[in-house]
Amino acid sequence: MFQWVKGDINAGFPSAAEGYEDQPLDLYELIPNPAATFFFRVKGDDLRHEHLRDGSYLIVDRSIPPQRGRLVLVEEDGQFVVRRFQAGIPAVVCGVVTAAIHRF
Amino acid sequence: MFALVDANSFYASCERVFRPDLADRPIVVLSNNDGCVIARSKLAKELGIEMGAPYFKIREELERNHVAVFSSNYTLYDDMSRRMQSVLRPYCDDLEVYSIDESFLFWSMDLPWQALGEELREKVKRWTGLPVGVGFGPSKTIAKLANHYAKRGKGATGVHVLADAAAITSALQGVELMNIWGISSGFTKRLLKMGIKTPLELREANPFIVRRELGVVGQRLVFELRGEACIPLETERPDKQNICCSRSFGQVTNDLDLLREAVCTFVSQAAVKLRRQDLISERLAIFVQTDRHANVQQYGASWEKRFPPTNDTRELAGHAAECLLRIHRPEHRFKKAGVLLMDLCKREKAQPRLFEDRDLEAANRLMTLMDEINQVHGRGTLRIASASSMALNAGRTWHLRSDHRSPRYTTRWDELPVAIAKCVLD
Repeated sequence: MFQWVKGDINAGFPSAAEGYEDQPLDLYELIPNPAATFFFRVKGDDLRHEHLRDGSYLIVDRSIPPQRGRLVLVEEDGQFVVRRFQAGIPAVVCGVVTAAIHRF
Repeated sequence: MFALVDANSFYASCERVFRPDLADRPIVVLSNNDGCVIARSKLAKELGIEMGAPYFKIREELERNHVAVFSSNYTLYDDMSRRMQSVLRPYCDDLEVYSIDESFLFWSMDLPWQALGEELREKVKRWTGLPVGVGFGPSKTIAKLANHYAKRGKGATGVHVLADAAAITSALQGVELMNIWGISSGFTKRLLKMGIKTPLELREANPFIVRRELGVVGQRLVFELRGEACIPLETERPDKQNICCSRSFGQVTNDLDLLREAVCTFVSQAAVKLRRQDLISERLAIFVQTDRHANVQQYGASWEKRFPPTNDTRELAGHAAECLLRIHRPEHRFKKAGVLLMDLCKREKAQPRLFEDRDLEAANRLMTLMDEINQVHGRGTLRIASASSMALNAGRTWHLRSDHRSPRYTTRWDELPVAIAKCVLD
């Protein structure tokens, strides 16, 4: 009788990692709520001090209620704008910035 | 209890989510190949733009009224549709995706429906940006009717509950037979013959007499209108009976090589759908049509062929090319062509043939591999030679026209929406 052998047959030593394999990390797992999460691209260098630069990728979660001091995405004069949220500035808040990615 | 949740002017609303500048402008979305209007925002409806209006006829009117015009962007709509479903799913016991912009929801317990409806609406709007209407009812047919009331009529708030007999009765009084889900114009005529003129009369009709005249579908309808659920949720889609793939061309053409290329491309796309459901086909039809809107001699024809069951793109393309030759007329320039795969059945249920000269297993492995490669690297990466320049050469005359397509904001890194960085202190 013979059995099917799963995976490649390695003629040398068996892998020391046998049984310890895991999936590679996927950045998508850092996003808690994909249904409400949208990606944007930053335009302009006005928020350099916030570590956002022209061309940075913004990850915006629409499900999080905006709080003072958080970076938010708002609709302003028919455009999407990213800024620190402050009470008193009237704006339609679309979502909260949860992360940004900048490629060097 | 059932609910029907659907998005208002879904395609137009998807476009609006990514275009804050269009808040006060009417929006229309055009069908494949920019043929006719298939979605209108509320403002566009108020302008009197008709559903299905041919674009070339109303182009000037649209420009005059500053209407924002979009080609259909199904990649975006599909992604937004999935987001909508994921918001709704945790709320209910079961969910049926009825179409790209509507879902039926089901609960086995009793809940405060009005409040739940408002929460669903609020949540879908906040999470996805899409406005939806919610209708509740004890059957799918009544839920659909409630949804109608949620969006139309005086004081419509986006949520409508038809829970008790009195509410259902008065709701049925306010509509015509044609407004009821599942009643076509043909069905209406047959009901009229039986002396049934209104939805209320249909509900009070004797279900067994209705069954005798209109079959089980009619009888089910009577019970559904009485609030007895007879049409279950279809959480798993039944396999399709036919698979069709057809397009209008960007420009008319009578070139046989171009037409063959188009037809073979459509066959390839239909074959992918076929294999995705693990089906095989043993009959196909090819059809061609001249431009119906042009002032030329009209010609339309189709040809079909039966063959040993297969899911192999190469075989199907051969049959398709053969059919095309039968109906191609060089004196006509064609605007549209298409392919229909018929007589489908599950691959494992296929009758083995007595003298099989084909290596079906090898063909199946090759097709599976081709589908996998195309899945990873994009549709049309690997294709049969007769469908040669598909997807890569947009200059092809038969290629789909979509002059106003918006970016695929949610699925492409190079098409993301832009956010302007602004310092608070300015």
